[in-house]
Amino acid sequence: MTVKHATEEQIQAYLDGLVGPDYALLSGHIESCEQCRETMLQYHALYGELSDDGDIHLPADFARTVAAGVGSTETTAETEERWSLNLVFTVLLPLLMAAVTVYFLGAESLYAKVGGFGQSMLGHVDEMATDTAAFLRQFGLRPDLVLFAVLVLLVVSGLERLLRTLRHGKAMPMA
Amino acid sequence: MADSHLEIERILAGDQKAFEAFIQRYQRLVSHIVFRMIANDEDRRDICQDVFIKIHQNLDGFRHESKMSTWIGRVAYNRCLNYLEKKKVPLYEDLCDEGETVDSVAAELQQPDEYAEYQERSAVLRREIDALPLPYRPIVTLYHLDEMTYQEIGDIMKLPEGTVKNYLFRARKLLKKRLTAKYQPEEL
Repeated sequence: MTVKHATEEQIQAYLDGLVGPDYALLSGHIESCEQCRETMLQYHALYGELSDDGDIHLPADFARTVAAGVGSTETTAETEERWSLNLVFTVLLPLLMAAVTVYFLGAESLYAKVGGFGQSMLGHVDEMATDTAAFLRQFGLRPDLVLFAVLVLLVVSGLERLLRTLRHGKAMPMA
Repeated sequence: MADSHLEIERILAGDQKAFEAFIQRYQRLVSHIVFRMIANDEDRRDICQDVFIKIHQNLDGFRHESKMSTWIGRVAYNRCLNYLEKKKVPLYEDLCDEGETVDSVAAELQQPDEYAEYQERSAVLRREIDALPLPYRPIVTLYHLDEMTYQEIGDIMKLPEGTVKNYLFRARKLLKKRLTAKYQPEEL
């Protein structure tokens, strides 16, 4: 290997101990060449700084706290997912309840009991319920039975989620 | 290896002390990755906690085909990537323009004595590392702080060895360039 000035990659490799058979040649050059020696010393100082993790520290009781709570703690990602699903349930359940009420009682009997905005909303729900019922009948399904099955499923999984929420609580806070 | 199997069995059997000792052994590695990749201090601690919960949940699936430290590093790295994707943080953006340094930190920290100068220099370096493109940061940390090989780092980050080596060279070259622009060579 002919060395004019060592490249920065060569100097880094030299400090990493990765030069192999050319080590003596490169080492001799760096010793004798002021410019390459200066570059090497700059990298050497940088390596020293990079080996200092003074800014990285977890609380002293981190391991104990995590180990103590791990069986009953979920990750923040799981907590986010659970709350998103809870939100879906919160929106879906009242909508389905409304659809069931309208389907079984009939929109007309409810129209008489509510005002303008309520009538408009009921109209939309009635339309949706009628469309969904027609869609289900196309496949030979009874809409009332399907609705009943969906409601049972929602109630059961809602109860399961509620129990999980009560068991886990919020993700374990870190002091 | 037998010790490792035994330790995992104890942890899976619910031995809290065994898991505490396990966390103590690997929390340095996890915090090195998380602290270099995540800027928000509160989130850093939560993510470190998440990593160990995830590890606990999946420990029964660990097959000893890779080193435990590599597997844990990968869990930590993937958790950080997941967090950054959610926050829409660009992975390859260099946060410092070519030739610039993070002078604002130095200006805030200027003090006459030697220790303060050392602290200032370290703070500037940390800011410069934080300004590097994201994949460079864990590589610099895993190589210099955790003394991992290119192959181990590549296993964690799912990168070829050559790419790890290349990124490491580029990261150190950038850091040296930015720090020499700020300090005299003898101050480094």
